[in-house]
Amino acid sequence: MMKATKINKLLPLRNASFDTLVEALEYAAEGETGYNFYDGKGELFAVVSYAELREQAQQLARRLRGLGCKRGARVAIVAETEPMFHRFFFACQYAGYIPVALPAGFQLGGRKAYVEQLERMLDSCGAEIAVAPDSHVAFLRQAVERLNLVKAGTPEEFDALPEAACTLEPLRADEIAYLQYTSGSTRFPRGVEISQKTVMTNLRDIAVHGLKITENDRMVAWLPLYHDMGLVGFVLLPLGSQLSADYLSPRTFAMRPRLWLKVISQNRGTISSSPPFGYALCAKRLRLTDQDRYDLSSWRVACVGAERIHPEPLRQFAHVLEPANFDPRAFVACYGMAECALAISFAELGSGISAVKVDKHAMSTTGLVNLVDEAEAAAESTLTFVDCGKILPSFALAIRDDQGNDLPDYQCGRICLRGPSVMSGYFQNPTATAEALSEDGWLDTGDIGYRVGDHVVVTARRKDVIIVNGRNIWPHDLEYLAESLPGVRFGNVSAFSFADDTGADQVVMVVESRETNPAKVRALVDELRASITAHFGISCHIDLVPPRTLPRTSSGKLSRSKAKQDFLARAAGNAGNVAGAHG
Amino acid sequence: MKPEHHAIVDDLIALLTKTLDRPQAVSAETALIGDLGLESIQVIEYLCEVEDHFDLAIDEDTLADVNTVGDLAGVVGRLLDR
Repeated sequence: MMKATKINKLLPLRNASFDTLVEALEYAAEGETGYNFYDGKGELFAVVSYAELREQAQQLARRLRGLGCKRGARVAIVAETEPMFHRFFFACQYAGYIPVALPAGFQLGGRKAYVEQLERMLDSCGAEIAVAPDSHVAFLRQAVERLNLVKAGTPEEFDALPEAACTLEPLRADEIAYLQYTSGSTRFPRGVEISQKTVMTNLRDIAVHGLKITENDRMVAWLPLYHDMGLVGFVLLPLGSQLSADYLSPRTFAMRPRLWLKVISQNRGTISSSPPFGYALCAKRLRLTDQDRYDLSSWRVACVGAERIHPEPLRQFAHVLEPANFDPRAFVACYGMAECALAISFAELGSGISAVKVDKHAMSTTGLVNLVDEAEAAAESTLTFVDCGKILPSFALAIRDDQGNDLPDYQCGRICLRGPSVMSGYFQNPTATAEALSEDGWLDTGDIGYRVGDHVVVTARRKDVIIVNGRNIWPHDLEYLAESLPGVRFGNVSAFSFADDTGADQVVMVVESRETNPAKVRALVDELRASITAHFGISCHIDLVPPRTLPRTSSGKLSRSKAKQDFLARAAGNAGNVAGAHG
Repeated sequence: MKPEHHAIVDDLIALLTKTLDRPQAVSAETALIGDLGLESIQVIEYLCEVEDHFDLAIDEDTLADVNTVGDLAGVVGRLLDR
C-alpha cells in the first residue's frame, strides 16, 4: 500500500539557506520527505520524495536538452495538481530553462475562452516547449495551433524523447527561476520575472521570520499551483525547508471541501493557507455530524491572504470547527503578491485575526486613520481593516502620496517596497515594468494602505479607488451596499469610476440581475441609486446586466478594470446613451 | 441496467432543482451557464451531486463541451455505457 512521506526526522533543518532551487532540492533529496497527492475521494494516489524528484527531474532535463532550445527558453506547464508539474518544473531548473505555470482551467462549456487564454499566455512568454497532463492536453493542442513551438504534448510524449549526452548546468543564482502570471490579467497577461536570488530571499524570510518553520512542520494545500500562493507557498517553501507537503486539487476542494480538513487531521498538518472564501466555503459545506470527526489541533498556521480580509467568515469557520479543536489563534493574516515572489508581511503567529475600526469620514476625506473604539462604533460610520502584520526583514517599506512623498504612520497612501525579494520586472514588457518599478528599485504595489511602525494595513487596491470631488470612495463598500439589497447577489456587482468628457469622475455600478420585467428593473435601479446617494452622497450610474456578464479572473475574482473596459465599450456602442447619463 | 436518456435527463433536472435558489423551469435544452444564473461554485456543487448520484467521474476535457442539461445527460449516458 502507498504511504505518504513522513515529517523530516533525518536532515538538520535548513530554512531555505540556499542560493538556488536546485541546491535546495539536492539537499532535501538527502532526506525522506517529499510531496503527496490525494485524489477526488481523498485517497493517496501518488508519492514523490525529493530524492525521487531529483532523479526524475535530471533525467527529464536531459530529454528536454535534446530538443536543442537555447538556455533560458520558456517551458509552459499546464499546472494541474499532479506529480508531472513538479517533475517538469524542476527539470527546467536542471536544464537551464524557465518554467511558466499555466492555469489548469475548469469551466463548463468554457473550451473557447480557456484555449484563447492559454494561447495568449504562451504567446506572451514566447514558450518553445509546452506540456499538459492528459486531462488538459486537448486544450493545449488547440492553443498551440497558430504558434510555432518546438514541442507541445503530454508528459508521456516527452518521456519518449532520447536523453541528450550533456552535462546539466542548473540555473544559477543570478538567473530567472520562473515566470509567474498574475491572476488579475487574463486579457493582457503579464509574466512576473522572479530570479533564483529573489525567490530564495523570500522563502528564507517566510520560513525564518513569517512562519518560523521547524522540522515538525507539515504543509497541506489545495491551492492552484499556477498561483503564487500555491507555487511558492506550497511547492517551493516545503522544498526549501525539507518539509513534506500534501495536495488536493482545487477542483477536489471545490467539490468536497471537507477533504481538506480530513487530510490535515489524518496527516497532522501544521501549515495550510487559503483565501477567505475557502474558509467560508468549507464552513458552509460542513455537516453538523462532521465536526468532531476531525482533529485539527495540529494546525498551527492557517494563513489568510487576500486584498482585504473580512473577519466574519473566519469567525464562522472557527466557530463551526471548535469541536474539531481548531484554534482561532492559528489564523495568520498575510499580505503578498507575485511581484515579490509571494509574501510581504505576516501577522504575529498565534495571535489570530486582529481587526481595527477606523472612522470612515476621516479616511475618505483626508486619508487619515482615526481609530475608533469597537464598543462605541456605529457600523455605518466606520470601516474595518485587518492588520497584515510586520513587513518581512528583507523589505524596505514606504507609504507615499501621489507626488511620491513619504507619508507618516496612520496616513493612507501607496504601498511601496524595495529589496531583494522584489521582481526584476515583467517579462519582455518594459512599459509595464517602468510603471511598477522605479529606477532606484522601488516597487509601486498598486495597493493603498497605511503603516504603523513596520506593520502594514492594506485598505484597497489603489487603481480601484473611486475619487469624487476629492473624496476617496472604496468600491468594496459600494458593492457591499448593493449586495445587501434583495434581488442582488453577493459577488455579482462591480463598482468603478471613469473620467467623463470634462475630466470629472463618474461613478458606475454594474449589477448582474436575472430580472427581466421592465417595471421591476426600473424599481431595482431606483432603489440602488437612492441607497447609494443616501449612504455615500454621490450619484451613481446603475448598469443592470444579465447574469455572467461581469468578467472574472482565472481565480474567480471579479476584475474591476475589465468590468470598466467592458462598460465603456458598451457605452461607446450606444453612443451618448450611457456615457453621458447619470443613471 | 443502463437508464434511458430521458430518465437521466429527469434525474439531472431533479438534482438541479435542489441546487437552484428559486424554482425555475428546466428542460433538456436549458443551458447550465447563462439560463439559470448559477455561480461557478454552484455549478461545481451540482456536478459533485451528479457524480455522486451516478457514481462516475467526468473529466475537464468533456465538461468543456457541455452546455445544456441534455449535453450533460449524453455524457452521463456514455460514461454509464462503459
